[in-house]
Amino acid sequence: MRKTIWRACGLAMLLGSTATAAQQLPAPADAPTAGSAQGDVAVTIYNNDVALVQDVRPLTLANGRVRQSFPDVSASIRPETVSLTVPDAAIVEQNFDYDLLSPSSLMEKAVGETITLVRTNPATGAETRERAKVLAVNGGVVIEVGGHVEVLRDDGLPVRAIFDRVPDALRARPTLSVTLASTRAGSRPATLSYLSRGLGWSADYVALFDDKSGEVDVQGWVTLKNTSGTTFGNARTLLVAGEVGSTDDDGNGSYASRRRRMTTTTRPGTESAAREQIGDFYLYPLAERTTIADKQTKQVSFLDAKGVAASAGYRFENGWLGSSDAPRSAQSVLRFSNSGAAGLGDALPAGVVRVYVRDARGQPQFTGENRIEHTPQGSTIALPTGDAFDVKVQPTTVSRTRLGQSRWLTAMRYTLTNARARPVKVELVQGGLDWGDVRVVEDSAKGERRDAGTLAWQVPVPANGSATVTATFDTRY
Amino acid sequence: MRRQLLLAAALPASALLAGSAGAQTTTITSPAPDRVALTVYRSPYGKGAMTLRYLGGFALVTETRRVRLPRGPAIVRFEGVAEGIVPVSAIVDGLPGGAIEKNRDARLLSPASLVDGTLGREVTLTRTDTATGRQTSEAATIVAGPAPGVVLKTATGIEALRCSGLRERLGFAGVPAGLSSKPVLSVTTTSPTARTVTVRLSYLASGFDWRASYVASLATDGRAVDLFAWLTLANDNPEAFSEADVQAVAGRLNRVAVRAVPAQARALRLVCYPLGTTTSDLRKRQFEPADEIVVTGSRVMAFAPITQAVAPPAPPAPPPPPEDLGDLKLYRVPTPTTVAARGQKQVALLVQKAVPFERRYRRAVYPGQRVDGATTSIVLVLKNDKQGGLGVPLPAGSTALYADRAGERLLLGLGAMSDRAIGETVRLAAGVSSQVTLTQLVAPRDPAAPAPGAGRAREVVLTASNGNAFPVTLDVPIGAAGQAIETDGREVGRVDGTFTWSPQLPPGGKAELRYRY
Repeated sequence: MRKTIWRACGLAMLLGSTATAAQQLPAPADAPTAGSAQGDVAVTIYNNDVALVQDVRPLTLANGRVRQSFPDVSASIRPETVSLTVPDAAIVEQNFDYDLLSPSSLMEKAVGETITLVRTNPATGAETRERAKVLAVNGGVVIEVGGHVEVLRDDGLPVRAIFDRVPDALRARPTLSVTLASTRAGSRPATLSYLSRGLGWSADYVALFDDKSGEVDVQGWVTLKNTSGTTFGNARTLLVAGEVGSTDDDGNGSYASRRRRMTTTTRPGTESAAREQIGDFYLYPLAERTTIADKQTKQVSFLDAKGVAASAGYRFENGWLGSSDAPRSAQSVLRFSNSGAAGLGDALPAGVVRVYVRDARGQPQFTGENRIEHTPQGSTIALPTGDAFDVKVQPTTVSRTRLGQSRWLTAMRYTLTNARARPVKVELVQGGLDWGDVRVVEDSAKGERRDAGTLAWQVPVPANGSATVTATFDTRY
Repeated sequence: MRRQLLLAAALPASALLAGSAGAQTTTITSPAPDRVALTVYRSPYGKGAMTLRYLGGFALVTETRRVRLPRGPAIVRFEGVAEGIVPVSAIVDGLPGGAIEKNRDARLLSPASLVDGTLGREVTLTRTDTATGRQTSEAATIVAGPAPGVVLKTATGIEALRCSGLRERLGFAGVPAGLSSKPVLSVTTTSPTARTVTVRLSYLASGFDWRASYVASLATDGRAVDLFAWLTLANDNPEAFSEADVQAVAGRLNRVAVRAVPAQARALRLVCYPLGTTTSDLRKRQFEPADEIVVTGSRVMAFAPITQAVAPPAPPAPPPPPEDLGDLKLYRVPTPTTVAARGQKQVALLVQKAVPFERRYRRAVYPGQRVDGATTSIVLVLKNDKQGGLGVPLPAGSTALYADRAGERLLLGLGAMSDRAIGETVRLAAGVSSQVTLTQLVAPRDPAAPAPGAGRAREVVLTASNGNAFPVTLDVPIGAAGQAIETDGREVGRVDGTFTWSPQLPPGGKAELRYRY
């Protein structure tokens, strides 16, 4: 039981980058003693914690049946996905060994073997050596010394247990090894490819918005993170904007609601970006080879667009005909398009958009952030960045009148205030109308019934002024 | 082959760039910023006093640094950034060759990573005899580690570290490549010429927060308050920001939780083979767990003494009114100020003299709720406009109301306030009154008289009384917004959709309202 736990621990705590195959492998062909054993590495990273690693290593093989180990593969390798291509050699079997070398496994593998004990006299420091046979390792180590049986360190005095060798099966790191049937001796490139966890990427955008000119400068960075436990040196790197699915889900996709209060709303575009595509995925190759170090976050620029048309707006959504005894802030929403005509002209991979606005001294200051999904070119994006200090809405339930057995007449009043020195337009949304059949009896301004659940008005509010919208609903509850 | 050469030059792995084939990549370290600007944002849903151990707000840190760039490719390491940095938010401006890559490395030097980075290499194993103090050293190679336990290969054979009961320690030849004491933010760039440039590095960092603390002092005539507000800002980062341009932003910003790669710095956990003995507790069903020695290097989290400003006799001059930052409000601290590491700091936010107010008493009831001589809350109602003596944006914060009593200050009430724009109403809590009370009783149903309406309405009697020697105005909102009640002739108006009874109570007077629901 404990052994299993240790194994799990060992797997979970995989560390190390420049680690080598330190132990004596059966056929340590071409195992370096320093640096990484990786060859020419290409890494393709997807968004949903999947990466494809291709590693071309020169192998020097003998003729006949050879066992070849591959150190320095990803510590988060999915061993069942490994494939190896070696010219003039056929694969007999692939092994992924994760019986790790530790003090405990060393002792357990020594059962039945003879080890050396060095006893130290605590008073004098004098050492005495003897050979002992390990009988059992169950909670304690039972040994046979000179014809009698005792428990190791039963008296608590110092005893060094010295093993003659490391057992073949134990490794310092989980190791991929392949047995090959080679038809000729000599060196040739072997292509090792596998899927790995622990590598992911997303985008990060810096949007510098200028309200006066109605423009936003958008910089895009791809951010890749390596938590795989392994450094990939000098790798060709390709990022794929898309999810390749996972064998862990049933393929029905997620039903995550996209209509929560603070989420970005997008009207999907229909333009194609001038990016390399494979199937439906856009590809973002890094221009230069790069070293993706373990526990590293790496950012590389992929987009720099200046003067994209943008506007700031306000949105307020009231839930089910609720009332508020104090005015509540409207959302600040930044709207822009990634169409070619608007000046951006690129598909936007999923990520976080951070919005900055220059203060009176010209210094960019942060004004909020939000997440966008993979956004095709030509989309219109409405990005809520936070609450407006000066633009507020107070929804009030003015009266509730019983109409009959299960019908009510609910009168609502929405008071919109604007403490800014310029007029604003607020998108006022009454939500929650899909609870039973709600009819709009009358409203002071013509609202747009977007769907069963919402009624929306575009309300202009004058500078340092207020506006009022009233509406009466015939509701079931 | 080229990689071997570069490795021989002992460059960190991250220095390897194919684009720089042949050219040497130099690493430049920028130890600290020359100038810092700090814009502090409140915790989006923060209320009450700040918890200094966990600050929910954040800051935009803008640093100006002078960097000497060599010709050709270079890695610029930025040290001394705030610990709470959100690495993906970092923006670097001013590099002539632009930022090719921004990297944040979180592999830290720790006992475990030292073993991990030295796996397969030689170390020195030293044993000390506790009786004589004599030390013996021998060369050893780490063949397994760091978790669970370290296995060494010595000239004698294979041994486990510190399982023998002897004093053993490892000596390492050096720090493995790619490990640093703190997470490092670095940028790779290529400069066409060697030159000194001014780089602006800005990033978001957690571990900051600020609050507005309003102190209202009741004037002697009892008709106006003098309003003063502190801007209290706190920094939980171990970095100090000296002579910084400090701003504070009011308003709620949307944030997205970004999972940063956690810094990896583990303690070395040495697990030995099972060491149960014949004298281990025999009644135990399970074997004794393996001997475990934890060598840990955890940092002591100590709070520096909090540098708290003591209220001076005359309040300091307030900063200029806030400027609009998009839909937010930006307050500038007028002079450069030092924000200490793990410290809290207060500067003046606003001073408004003689703000008139209206004193109201308030108690909300539900129809049919039994209320028996209940106390009422006292509220000072201020109008945030020029006529009302205010007319400034008021950021959310806590309020404290004081009165003067023979030269001494007396606390009357504590409360909280949300963001108030110009033109809004401000309510200052002024304590609870047990002099002005409210009683609500449900009248017994009169079986003779059929109840009006649907015949199931109940009649309720509300009684308000004033034990003070001065007249008061009481507000009693009844029920929820939109809910209807029926009164006998007396006009009860709707406030915010809720029927509200607002009687004027003379000194020692009473008022009564009968309503049906």
